[in-house]
Amino acid sequence: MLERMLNSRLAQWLDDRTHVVQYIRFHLIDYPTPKNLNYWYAFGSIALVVLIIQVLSGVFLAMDYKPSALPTGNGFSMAFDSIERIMREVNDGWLIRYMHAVGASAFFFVIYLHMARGMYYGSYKKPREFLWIMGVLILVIMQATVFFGYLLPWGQMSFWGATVITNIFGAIPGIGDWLLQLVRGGYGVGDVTLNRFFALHFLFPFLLFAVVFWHVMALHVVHSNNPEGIEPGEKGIIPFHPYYTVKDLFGIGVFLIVYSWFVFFDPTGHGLIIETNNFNPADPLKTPPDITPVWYLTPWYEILRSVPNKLLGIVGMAFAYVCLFLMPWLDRSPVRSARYRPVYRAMLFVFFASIGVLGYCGHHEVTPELLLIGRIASVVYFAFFALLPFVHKFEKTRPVPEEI
Amino acid sequence: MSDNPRRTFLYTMAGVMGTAGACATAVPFIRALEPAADTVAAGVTEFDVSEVEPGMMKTIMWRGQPIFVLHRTEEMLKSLYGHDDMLRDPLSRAIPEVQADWMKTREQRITRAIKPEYLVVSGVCTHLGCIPVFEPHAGGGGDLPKRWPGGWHCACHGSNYDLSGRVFKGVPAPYNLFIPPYRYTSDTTIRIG
Ligand code: HEM
Ligand code: FES
Repeated sequence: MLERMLNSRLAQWLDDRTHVVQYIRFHLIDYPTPKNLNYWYAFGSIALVVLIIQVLSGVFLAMDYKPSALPTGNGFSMAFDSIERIMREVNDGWLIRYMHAVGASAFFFVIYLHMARGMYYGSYKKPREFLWIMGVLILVIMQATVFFGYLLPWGQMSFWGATVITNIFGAIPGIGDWLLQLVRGGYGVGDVTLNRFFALHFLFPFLLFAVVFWHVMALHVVHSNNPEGIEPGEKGIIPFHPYYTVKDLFGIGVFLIVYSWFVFFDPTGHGLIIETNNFNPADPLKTPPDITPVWYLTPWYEILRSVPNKLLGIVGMAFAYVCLFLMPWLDRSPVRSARYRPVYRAMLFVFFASIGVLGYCGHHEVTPELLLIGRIASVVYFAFFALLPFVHKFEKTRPVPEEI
Repeated sequence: MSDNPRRTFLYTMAGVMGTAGACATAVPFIRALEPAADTVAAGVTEFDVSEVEPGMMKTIMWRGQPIFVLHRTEEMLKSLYGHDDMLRDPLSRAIPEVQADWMKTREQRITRAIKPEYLVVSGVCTHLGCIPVFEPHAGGGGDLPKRWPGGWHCACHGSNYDLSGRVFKGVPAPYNLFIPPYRYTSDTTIRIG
């Protein structure tokens, strides 16, 4: 069937003029893949599907959304009211909105697992350093996108989240105040800010597409790593189609079932996906007692919060990303996969746990106990990267197999 | 090709001019992001401080940002003394924003107000911009430190300020609450901006 389509006269006519069939064959059909990829390798394709869901639902939301903080007759704002209108009046608007909100959380969930996979199998190592860097860049762009997007409903969390995060720019010595006003377009977060955040929230997913494209192009030069972390050799290679087209599609199907369950039965995720306080309209005169970001930003936020000094807190948070970027050069072990690296494997689990703890603390109001726990977790996070350059010196790796 | 020095020179000049042109083109775009003329102009607020009862606080808006106006009683003014050891900057000297040109005496650096009974400070936490909650009553407990002279508590990341808006040590906020530019236009009317 596929062969018949690709050999059809129409396809041949196009191919003579664009090489499109050659591209499809090269990247999606004959593309060589290791034969032992497990389901952890489906999250890349799943992430692509989520990106498409976000762009599609986002464009439809934009048709009814109004980026204005101007007050309306009922005491709310144009933006807040337009969201309520999408929820109540626009046909199936509630569905599209929940697809977008749940999609944002799903995106991060999928990407965090995708990254954890890369760390576990040593996929960031030579020759995949650039692939990894593009990946971390994708994460940063995603976090910027979601930050712009979260302001749009103009609820309490939108307003105060944006106030706190934009203030982070203000702490940069010298240019901080100027930068702060540049981001906000005024002295505080206001109507002007909302307008420009909407423009940026629309723009950034297209940047994301560009970087993801480069990410996949880089992958198709260096090819996939695999759970054993060794070169697959000739006998270990199978074509992408039908083996991984089918396997990825199955993964996507399972993902869509879970995703749909949330969209239909728990769209706010009990305050995790859409924070409860964001159903209250923004009030610039009253900070809610517990402003915390959505779950996927909390680990970074908690690092910021654990440092009792404004500038150093921000430096710490920025450094958390720098460490991720540097990972390919911090790790000097010749063995890739954690399957054969007992020490690295243990460290990795502690590291993942520290992120979980940071995330938990960052999502709760500060108490002295949580502050202490958050500080310990921050230290563990950085200790992981500080130890990495030395592990290979004393780690006794297990023998890696000859072939996969 | 480029072993011809004349050609190399022309390439370099074209490159430099092109880059300069691109940078110059960026200027209007950056300027468009800065606060617009009407945003800057909407900067004056008048307020009659006698509206605020003794011991009470009122929040007013200036440039879209909250300003605290606190009518301090004798007792509240007394509470400003005796906890200097807990403060980061007891005499408000750290940066220009926490001072004002009328702050001449030591006394004024402590009360931080033109008329000591009416404190006028920015209601924006100098950490990351939340609005601190008014906790006027002395005696700590809960989220507040044990020796609590009365003041403001910011719930976002736990910063504390006393009844002059002076920041405590050991909290994330670096500075005292800012003093907005204001003056009295009559006995009880202030003009901010
Ligand atoms: C929009 C987000 C992203 C999309 C659409 C995406 C897409 C993909 C796809 C399709 C693959 C190949 C299939 C697979 O190995 O799973 C892949 C591989 C990879 N990605 Fe991503 N990715 C995204 C974000 C990230 C991030 C944030 C990172 C890490 C910082 C990352 C790191 C990697 C690595 C290291 C590989 C190679 C894995 C291996 O060969 O073992 N990706 N990506
Ligand atoms: S904003 Fe007040 S403590 Fe962080």
